[in-house]
Amino acid sequence: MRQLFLFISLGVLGFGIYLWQFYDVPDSQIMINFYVSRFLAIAGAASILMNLFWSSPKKRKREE
Amino acid sequence: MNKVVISIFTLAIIALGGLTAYTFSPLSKKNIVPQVNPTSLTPMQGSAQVGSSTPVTLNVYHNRDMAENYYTVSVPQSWQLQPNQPAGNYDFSYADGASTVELMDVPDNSTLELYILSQDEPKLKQTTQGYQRINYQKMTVNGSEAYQLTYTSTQNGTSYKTVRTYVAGQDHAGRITLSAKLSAFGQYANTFDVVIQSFKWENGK
Repeated sequence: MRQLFLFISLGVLGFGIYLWQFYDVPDSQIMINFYVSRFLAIAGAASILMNLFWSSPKKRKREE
Repeated sequence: MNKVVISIFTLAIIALGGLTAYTFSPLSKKNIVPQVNPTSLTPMQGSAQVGSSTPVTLNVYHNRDMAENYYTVSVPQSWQLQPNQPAGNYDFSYADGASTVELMDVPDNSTLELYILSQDEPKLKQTTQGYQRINYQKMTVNGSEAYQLTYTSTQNGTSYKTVRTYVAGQDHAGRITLSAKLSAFGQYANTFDVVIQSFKWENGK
């Protein structure tokens, strides 16, 4: 489950970076591209970090 | 609950909130959407021989509105530049017609010629009264691949002849539309050639 979440997060981050850096934005869509690309990049990066720092209740118990 | 995860989540929410507030505030429009650079509107002086007559004084505009799409174009000094044009565009008017020099967005998954024939010309047919194509040709403008469409149209009962030239560029294409009354077109033909051949991309190609 955690791996699946990480995989989706990487996809979201990758798609955000693609829209930000590589997508040929039509003149009429500059604003929406600005918003969507950065939104996806932030959400993707945050999800990856949350996934990496997430410790399950089982693991915490073991650590205690 | 994991404190680090909660902190990251909170920071992400704050960042997304900040992004939303910035994007939809009036301040962002200035920074995100290309704006008219004041230097683009300040012409330099130049001159050119038009046909066999005496040299004509030209206004040389260096357009600096959109990175990757800097260009230079020269027009007769007598042509009136219309105010409040979008970034990258110039509109001129003169006694027997009007002209436009503008940047045209061509999608990466298309070629300039395909875009002209499948998008731009059909749009012209729909929006221009009495549209009739006279000629279509491939040419070169200052080393750049270009296409030229010549057509006639009617506006308020008056017939106009228009030469529309598309110049391929690195990112956008340049579109030069030069129009004059059909009865006076002969007087403008040489001037139009000078304007078209003056168009030059400033960042390669």
